[in-house]
Formats: sequence, structure tokens, C-alpha cells
Amino acid sequence: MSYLLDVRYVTKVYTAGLLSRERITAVNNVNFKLNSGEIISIVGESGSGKTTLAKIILRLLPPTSGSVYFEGKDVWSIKRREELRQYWRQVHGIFQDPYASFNPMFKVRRILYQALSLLDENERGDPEGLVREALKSVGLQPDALDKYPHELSGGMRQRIMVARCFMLRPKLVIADEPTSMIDASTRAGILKLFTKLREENNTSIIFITHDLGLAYYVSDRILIMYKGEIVEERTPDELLEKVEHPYTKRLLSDVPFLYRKWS
Amino acid sequence: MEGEKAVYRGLLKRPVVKLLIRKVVFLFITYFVFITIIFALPRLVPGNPLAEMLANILQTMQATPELVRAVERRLMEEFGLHKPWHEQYIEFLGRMLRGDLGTSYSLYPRKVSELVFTYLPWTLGLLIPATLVSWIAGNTLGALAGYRRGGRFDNALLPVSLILSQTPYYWLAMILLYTFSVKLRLFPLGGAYPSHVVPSFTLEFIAGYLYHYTLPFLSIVLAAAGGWAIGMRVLVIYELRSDYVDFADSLGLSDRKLLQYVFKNSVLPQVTGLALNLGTILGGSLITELVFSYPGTGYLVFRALTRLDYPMIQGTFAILFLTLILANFLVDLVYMVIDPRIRTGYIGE
Amino acid sequence: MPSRILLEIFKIKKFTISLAIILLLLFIGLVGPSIYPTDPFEAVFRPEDPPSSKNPLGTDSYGRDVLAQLLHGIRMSLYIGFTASLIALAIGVAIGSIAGVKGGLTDEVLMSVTNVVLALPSILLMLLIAAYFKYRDPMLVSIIIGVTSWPWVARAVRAQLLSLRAREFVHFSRMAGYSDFRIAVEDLLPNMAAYIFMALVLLMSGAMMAEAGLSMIGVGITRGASLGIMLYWAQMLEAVRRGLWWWFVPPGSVLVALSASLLMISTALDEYFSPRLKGR
Ligand SMILES: Nc1ncnc2c1ncn2[C@@H]1O[C@H](COP(=O)(O)OP(=O)(O)OP(=O)(O)O)[C@@H](O)[C@H]1O
Ligand SMILES: [Mg+2]
Repeated sequence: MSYLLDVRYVTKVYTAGLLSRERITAVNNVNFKLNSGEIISIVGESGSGKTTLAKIILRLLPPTSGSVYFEGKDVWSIKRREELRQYWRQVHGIFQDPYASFNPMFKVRRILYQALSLLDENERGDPEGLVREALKSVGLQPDALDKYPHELSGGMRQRIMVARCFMLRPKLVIADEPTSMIDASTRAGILKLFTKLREENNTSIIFITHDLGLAYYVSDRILIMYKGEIVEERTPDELLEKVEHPYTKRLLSDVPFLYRKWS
Repeated sequence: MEGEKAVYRGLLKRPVVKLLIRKVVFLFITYFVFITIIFALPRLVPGNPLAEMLANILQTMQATPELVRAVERRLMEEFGLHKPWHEQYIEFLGRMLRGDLGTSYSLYPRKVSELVFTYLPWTLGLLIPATLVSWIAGNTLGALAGYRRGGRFDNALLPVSLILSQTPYYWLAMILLYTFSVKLRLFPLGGAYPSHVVPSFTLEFIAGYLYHYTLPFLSIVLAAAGGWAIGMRVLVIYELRSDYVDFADSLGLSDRKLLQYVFKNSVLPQVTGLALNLGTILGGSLITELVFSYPGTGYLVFRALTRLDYPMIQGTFAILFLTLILANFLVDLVYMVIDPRIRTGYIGE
Repeated sequence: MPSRILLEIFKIKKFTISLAIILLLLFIGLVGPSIYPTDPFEAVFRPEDPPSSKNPLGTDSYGRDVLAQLLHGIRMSLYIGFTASLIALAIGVAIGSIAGVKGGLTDEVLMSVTNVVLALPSILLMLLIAAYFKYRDPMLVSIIIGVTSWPWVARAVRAQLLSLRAREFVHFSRMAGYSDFRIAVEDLLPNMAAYIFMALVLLMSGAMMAEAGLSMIGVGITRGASLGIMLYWAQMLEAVRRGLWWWFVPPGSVLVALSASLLMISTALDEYFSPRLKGR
């Protein structure tokens, strides 16, 4: 039982429509394990079920069947408020849509202070200082705190979500397309921050992305997700040598520089 | 035989057919609910209006005692108030299904169904063309305004349609009648045709009919078109902001082609809007009929309501609602024909 | 709601002008009858007199003062419009939020009922219900209008709630350990408030129109004057054909002004909030 996270046979079926009962299997029988300090990527096309899987692990969306174990404990069996707070203190997420991630009625300050409320008294110390420091580390000025979400760009919002995670120093970060709206020059810096988080706190990270190239450079292991299933699991180096699933091959051929090495 | 069955079954599985069946079932249920409401209301309202109506016949009708007794017996039979309510209900449903809507007592001994069908054609003759013309004109004008948002045409059309859309048909009717008939003496003061001709297919009658038709028609068209124009304008503006328009622009598609696409996409919600608003349009035009002393169902409803002629109220409303349901179904059919997603079976909803 | 939002809304010209018109008419309706104390129902003047200094809006066929009727009518129409829309709003919000929050079978049942009621033409339903009451006071008329106008509100509230609940900011609050109640108060309600207010505004304009329609066809309030009742009298006594324009032009104009202003307010709010609520 030394795994940090153990995802077992997780399936999610959405039922849409009132009477028509249309069923979509978004995640189908997914299994994987994650060690402390490990960075993995989940790569798949749009609609392959990546976000659904992330929300299940974050204990935000109940799975139809299967279970998620964190440090040996079934996440979906946690019921007590205090235990739940502890879980989210240790496992936190960044969501894909930076626009929907902010309540338009509140200033940016709220989203960071929310995270602070998960910390213990003694960890909190000087809250304003912590918040400012976190902002600085993602390259934002402290005046962003008193802005309303609609005054910020998509990229700025994503950086604030990253800052929120950094303040918590959790054991596991699930980052759903965390840099999709951040320009290439800043992106490298942000990604470096994630690796720094691992170096300093032994934090594990699950990156969710469309971009196999990005996954190749940041992760220890890459899971390929296709139509709700994990169809292939490789280290970046293996990826260049042997892949089996046709979908992975197609993905590889779309990344020109990887393809060149591969052939 | 077997093959025929298979074809039949295959047909039932097609999304369009499934959708149609669901629509029909839904409309059937709503009609059933409405009939039930018609039945239940007078029996639920405190003071039992039906019993009161029967009791009052003796005082309110100035007629021979025999006639009064005949009316009373007739209505007693129809309402069956002495029977348990479930028997009354089943009898009521049976009569409604057979098309027997009962006997009017303010126009005794005429049958309600006969009365409704004498007056309904005048209403439909006014309502259907006016609705179609206002819908087409309003949407066209609204689309043009939205396409050139902020232009001179838009700036002129917007306030006018805004005010028209909030103007009750019948009040616009009063204004038009006052201006064009009373002041300018260009149009007749009311009615559906000149009093000295009888309805027939003669040139004289048709000319007289159209002459009387103009103002009521215009009242409904003008007031209703305002709402359609406003709705369409907003839809077109939203549509113009969507990605595919930028894409088409970058491909260098002509203005005309683009406008065609945008119009096609924006018109679908307006078809739904038409279905949703049929009741309101009908209500407004019934009152407009009153202003012009038009011999349509509006007059019948008004008469029934003010004289508490409950058989006539029930019957007229049942028929009016049935008419609305049929119209609704027709609009839904049109929607299915023009919605590419349903036509190609892409969605089952 | 932060005061900044209010401040920004008040900078929208369309909004402030419409609000000013409504407030002005509300003021007229509230204090008008006391400032201009002529009895609207006492037939003491020369009948069918055009506007004069004695009767600023002339008199009707019974010799009653039209301005006095108008002042009382504005008050009555606003009263019915407001109570009816509150009733419809209460029913709509209750059904919509129960359906949206509970989900499952409750949702299905409530939404089926809503769809059926939505398919029943509300105007016919109102007329039908009103017909069976011999005496109709303003409250009864409000109730009749209210119980027939809620379905679209229920649907809108449910849809809005479902879309809000799926927004990621709700997840962020949840991950911060917020209770369901706190999430409802901080994340759902403020974002619903704008929509609910817009619904109220639209319901109100619809309710005042409905009141006028009911009155015109003979089943409005049985005592007192409203804008609709004034039009009804004018229609019954042939004011149009007899050229008594001062009798039917004022109540209709006020009705249109009220309704158009309410529509403008809701449009202005929609234009302000929609992009923000969608986050963009
Ligand atoms: N709330 C929902 N109700 C019904 N179906 C849903 C819901 N959320 C997602 N789905 C469906 O589940 C499938 C997986 O969606 P998901 O968002 O997990 O994909 P994704 O891999 O994150 O895609 P993307 O890369 O576009 O973010 C899709 O087909 C989607 O339409
Ligand atoms: Mg996703």
C-alpha cells in the first residue's frame, strides 16, 4: 500500500435528457497508480473523458462504479467535513476553463483566501503575505487581488489558479490544461514552478493535456486516454521506441519533432 | 407481409417519426389536461357557479315558464349535477370527444358547437394571414436591422418596434380606428362586411370584405411584427458574433451568402417562438375583434363571459384550445422540416 | 452584490431612463390620487367634455373625471402587476430550484408538469378561471394571473441553476470545504439574483398586459378602476366611434410606457450580465 493514489476500475456514465435517457460512457474502467513525487500526464483528444476523471479523483463528481484510494483510503467513503477538508488540503486541482473558474461577483482575492482557509492556524501566519508571495511566483502583481475576474485575461486567471495550488503545497495536484491560455514564453516558467513544487515538497502532479509534446517534456509517465479508456501507458522514452495502440501512433505522428526522433 | 412489418418497424425507429409521435402524445395530454380543467373549475370554485347559474335562470331569463323549464331541464341533463362527480366527468369527456359541446342558454336553443363554427371562420380568416404576414415582415426587418447594427435603418426601426411590441393589439386598433375611420373617414367603423350585402362569392362582397378587413388586419400585423423584429434583431446580432461567421468572412464569402446563413440559423428560434406565442396572439386578436365589432369568436367569448353562459364558455374554450393545439402541431412540423439536425436524424430530441 | 455592479448598471442610459419612467409613474400612482383628490367614480361633471382646465383629461360618458380615473388606474395596474408577478415568481423559483437541486425523479415530474402548463395558453386559462368568479377583487385577479404565468420562470431558473452548478467556481468553493448552504448563498444566489430580477421585471409587464386583457373582455376587477377597466369602459361606451380620444388614449399610452420601460430594463440588465455571467 505504498501508492499515493490508486484509481481502480473507475467508470462514469452520464445520463442526459429528461425522458430520452441518452447515456454517455465518459470514463470506462480506468485503472492507474501514482507514487509520491511522480509526475504523470493524461493525454487524449477532446471528449475522451480526461476532465471527468479529474473531477472524480478530486471528489467533486461521484463515479458510477469503481473507487479512488488516496494513501490507502477510499476517497468516496469520506463523509465528515473535517476529513474532507484534509483531503482537499492534500489533493487540489486546477480547472480547464479559466472563465468558469471564477465567480464573477467576487474579487480575485476570494479564490486565494478560500485556499488559505484549508490551512491550519499556524501554517497561515501572515495570510496577506502568503497570498502576495504566491502571486509573485506566478508573475502577477499584488494589485491583481483587488480586480474582478472580467478584468483579467484567460492566461492571468490560469496563473492565479496555479498560485492557489502553490499556497497549499498539497501532496497531489491535478492540473487540467493549466497553461492552455498562457503564452509560450511564460508557459515554460510556470511549468518550471510545478517541477519546483515537486522538488521542494515531493508533490505528485497529474497533468491533463492534449499536447503530447508538452507531456513528453514534463512527465515521468504518460497515460494515453481514448474514448474513456486508458489505452496505453508509457515512459517518455518508451514512447519513442514502442507504442502499440493505433491512436497513440496517430498522436505521435502529429508531433513533428517527436516523430523525427522516432523514425 | 413480414417485409411490410419490418418496414413499418423501421419507420417507427426513425428519429423524426419518434419525435412526431412524442409530440402528438404530448399535445394529446395537454388537451386532456385542459378539458379536465374546464370540467373541474366550475365545480371547484366556491359557491358552485353551475348550480347558481341553473338557479338564476328563473330570474334572469325573460321568457315563458315552459321555455325556462325546458332550458333548465336541458342544462340539468348536460351538467348532471345530481350525479356523482366521476360519472359527470366521464360523461363530460364522452361528450367532448363526440364533439357535443352542449347548448347555449343565452342563445337557447342553439348548440354551442354550431355557434362556434359560425364565428370561428371569421376569426381564423383574420388571425392566420395576420400572424403569417407579421412574422415574415417582422423577422425580415429585424434581420436587416441586426445585420447593419447601429445603422440608420436599425436606429429607426428599433424604437418603433420596441414600442409596437409592447402595444396591445386592441389599443392600437382603437388608435387606428379613431384616426382612419372616425377622423379621416377612410375606412368603415366596424363589422366584417357592408351591412347591405350577404356573404357570397361576389365581387361586391369580396371588395367590401377586404375594405373592412384592412384595419383589423393592420392592427394585428403592426403590433405583432414589432416583437418579431426585436427578437430577430438580437438573434442575428448574436449569430454574427459566432465563430463560423469569422471563418466565413476569412474565406471571403459574399455578404449575401453570409446573410443567408445567419438568417437560416436565427430563424429557428423564431419558429419556436411562434409556437409559444400562438395563445397570446389569439387572445390579443379576440379582443381586437371586439374593438371592430368583428363577428368572430371574440364576440362569442365576450358574450358568454358577460352573461355567464357556462356551456358556451366551456365549448368555446375547448374549440379554441383545440385550434391552438393544431396550429402548434403545424408549426412544429415546419420546424422539423427546416431544422437540419432533425431532418438528418442527427438528434432525437 | 457588490456596489460596483450597481454603480455600473446605473451608468447604462437605457436602464436609468426606463427606471426613471417607472418610478415617475409609480410616484404618480402612489401620491397622485391625494394631490388630485377628485373622485374618479362620482358622475358630477358634464358628460363627454374634452380636456379643460377643470377636467385636465376631460370626462367620460357618465360625467366622471378621466384624470382621476387614470391616477387610480395607474395605482391599481401597478398593484396587480406587482402582486401577480411576485406570485408567479415565487411559484416559478420554488419549482425551478427544487427541480434543479433535487434532480432525478422529482426533477422529471416537476418539469413534465411545467411543460404541460407551459403548453396551456395562459390567456385562455386566465379568462376561463376568472369567468367562474362572480366578484373579482384585485388580489383574486393577481392570483389568477400569477398561477398561470410561472412556467417559463421555473424552466429558466432550473436551467440557470444547472448551468451554475456545473461551473468550476462552485468546485473551487467545494474544495475549500464550503458547506452546501454557503455555496448556495455565495456562489449560486448572487448569480441567480440578476436573472430573478429580470424575470420579475418581465413578469410584471406581462401581468399588467394580462390585467388589461382580462378587463377588456369583461372579466377584470369588479370594483375600482385600472388601466384595463378604463379601456373596457371606453370600449363598451363606444368612445372611439364617438371621437372621445381623451378617454382611451391616456390609459393605453401609460400601459405601453410602463411595459416598454420594463422591457428596456430587463434588456439592459441582460446585456450587462450575460457576458459576465458566462465569464467572458
Ligand atoms: N455533465 C455532463 N453531462 C453529460 N455528458 C457529459 C457531461 N460532462 C461531460 N460529458 C460528456 O462526457 C464525455 C467526456 O467529457 P470530458 O469533459 O471528460 O472530456 P475531456 O477529455 O475533458 O475533453 P476536453 O479535452 O475537450 O476537455 C464527452 O462526450 C462529454 O460530452
Ligand atoms: Mg476537459
